[in-house]
Amino acid sequence: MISLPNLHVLGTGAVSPAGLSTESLLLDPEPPLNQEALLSQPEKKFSVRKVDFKHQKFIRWQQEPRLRRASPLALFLMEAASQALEKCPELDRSRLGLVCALGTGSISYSRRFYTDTLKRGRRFASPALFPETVYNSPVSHVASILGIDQACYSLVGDESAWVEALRVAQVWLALGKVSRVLVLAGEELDVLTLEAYYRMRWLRNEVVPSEGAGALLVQAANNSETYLQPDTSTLPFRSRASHFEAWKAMTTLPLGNSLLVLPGNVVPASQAKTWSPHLPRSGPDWGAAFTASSSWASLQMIQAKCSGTLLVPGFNSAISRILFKN
Amino acid sequence: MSFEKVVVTGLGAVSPLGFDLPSTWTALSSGGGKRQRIDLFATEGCRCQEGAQAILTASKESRRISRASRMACSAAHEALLQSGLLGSERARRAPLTISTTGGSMEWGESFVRGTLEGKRGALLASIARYQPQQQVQDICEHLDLAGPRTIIGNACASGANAIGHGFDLIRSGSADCVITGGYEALTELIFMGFDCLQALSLEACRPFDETRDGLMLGEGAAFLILESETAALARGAKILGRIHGYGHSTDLLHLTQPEPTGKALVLAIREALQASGLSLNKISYINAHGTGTPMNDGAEALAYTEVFGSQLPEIAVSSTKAAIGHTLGAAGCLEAVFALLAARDLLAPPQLNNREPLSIMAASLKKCAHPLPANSAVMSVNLGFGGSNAALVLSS
Repeated sequence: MISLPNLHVLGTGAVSPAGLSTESLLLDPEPPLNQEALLSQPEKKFSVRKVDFKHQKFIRWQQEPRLRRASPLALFLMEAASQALEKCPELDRSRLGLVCALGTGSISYSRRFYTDTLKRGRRFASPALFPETVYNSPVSHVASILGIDQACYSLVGDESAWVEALRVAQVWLALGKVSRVLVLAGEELDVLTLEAYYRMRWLRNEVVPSEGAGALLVQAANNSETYLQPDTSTLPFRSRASHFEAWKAMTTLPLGNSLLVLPGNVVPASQAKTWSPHLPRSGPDWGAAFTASSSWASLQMIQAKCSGTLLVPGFNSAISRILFKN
Repeated sequence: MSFEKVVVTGLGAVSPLGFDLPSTWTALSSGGGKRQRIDLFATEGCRCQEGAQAILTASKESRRISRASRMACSAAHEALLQSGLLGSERARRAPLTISTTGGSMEWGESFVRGTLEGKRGALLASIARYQPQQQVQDICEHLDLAGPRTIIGNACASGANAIGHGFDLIRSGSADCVITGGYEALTELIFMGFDCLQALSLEACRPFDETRDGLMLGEGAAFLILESETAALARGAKILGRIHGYGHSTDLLHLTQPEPTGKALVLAIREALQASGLSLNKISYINAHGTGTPMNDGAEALAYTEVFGSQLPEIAVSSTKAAIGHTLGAAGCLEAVFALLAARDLLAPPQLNNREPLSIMAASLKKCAHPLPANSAVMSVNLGFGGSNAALVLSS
């Protein structure tokens, strides 16, 4: 049997409403709020945090042939990935793997494709849009531009999919499939996502929907003094009861200094008191962006040189955690 | 470095040819196929209105979950039952590696329609159930599973990737049992998508045929129980097959079109063969991706020629998509299961709808009519949108 390596971080990248760099994740004040109307009731508007899509860097990426028609998500991932690779220009791409965690994928194109056909008829379905709706399209564009022709996965899930992506990286490195892995997460915010937030009644709880991406370039830590380790004790849940049980079980694990990824409403009320001493939440609120939120919190741990546990409570499938030694 | 050997101890499937694996395999191996007018959703305005719908049992309980979940639960149940692990603590804690491309897209479609129509109620259930993790939750609830889950959305190669990742988890010692599988239900959005790309054949899916003009969409699910050989032998499990190698690569050329010479697929196949440690002449059958589209089959055929060279005519090759359609996220799993059964029964599924075979594939397609040699290995190969390529080497 071989053991899974801890992961040493070689490069980081971030795209968030706070800016287009990892450093911007630690900046105060909080990023500005935008107002977005509901699809079903345009008179109702809610606060969201959006990435500055008019930024020069995105305009530059849109010149790439593969990204001309790509969704905002593809551009977010591209920029984050490019930042993570910046400090390693000599990297051997033939030994580089790519794994990306996604929650909603290219949701804006899926909505446009389907609503167009509902409004105009099936015969007007757009062949240009459909391929961009597939989960792995954004990652495929990133791989193509960066010349990564090895292992490449798009993982789908809630916030905990980020931890799964880190585990995939561990397995690939352990088996020697690649020598480095670019781990990405990203989400784009669409009016349909906002509608879902509204229907799920999350907007009542002051959750601010957000968007963006995060990237980590990792290799096996070997003797490195700084590393991160995705924990194997993922606790799946579905019902309210199993959600409660998962949180309860998490308290039995050694936690040390912990940081919670998501808005506090994820902790069941009955567990809030137990958890409050463990949750020294710090830094600005970038809004909730599923897998991207998980990546931003990881980047914050690395950027602030924090050691401890990062809790990654998914909204509908599992609670996971990552251990950091910085 | 020594790795754990990976064996298969349970198999299950739901397909357009049957509601379980024995009925599917009996029909498939005897040359059965299915194509019908789609009645799951409206197709007026589409060029093509036909596909291959799965056969589903309709229990009262199962009607509460999506079509995708019903297929997945049924196939996973069959596989766990066969492995003897159904209800065991070992299965309960086993990781799940699952593939799909659309999740329960019909719920997502229903949410969009309801929103545009200004419906105020009844939409919460739609949005809460459409994401892939919800179908995986359905499987886990149905079969009392509580292990970590990895859902791979790598388009049409996802199924092979899910099996491959399960294989990697066991080989790396991260797990000694993995529940792996893929599912896909036919949905309006995906059907319209392939239709507007003009990728659907109006007559028949004709893989590796000179007159091929498109694919047929299908639906289904397949699950496999993977275990380390050590663990399976220790509990006296019946070994149904082995996975020897897995390779995957990314084609960087185009979002939907493979590189014409199949260069990336060559990499994936060679990686799988190298990991297996088997020589080329041990391979007796390939369950090919063979969508029946002009570009895919041309590139795939060239990749086989490049890898197997003069050996290729000795290898039987068929694409079962002509019989059950392209099941997208389930394809890699269904086809790997078919490849395993071909190795078990020494019988390759025949290539349907092939009248004018591509010259470089003609001998291999004909070879399916002959029994496979005993003690040989087989392969299952998949390509997908976004340049995903994956190959598995298996044996009975």
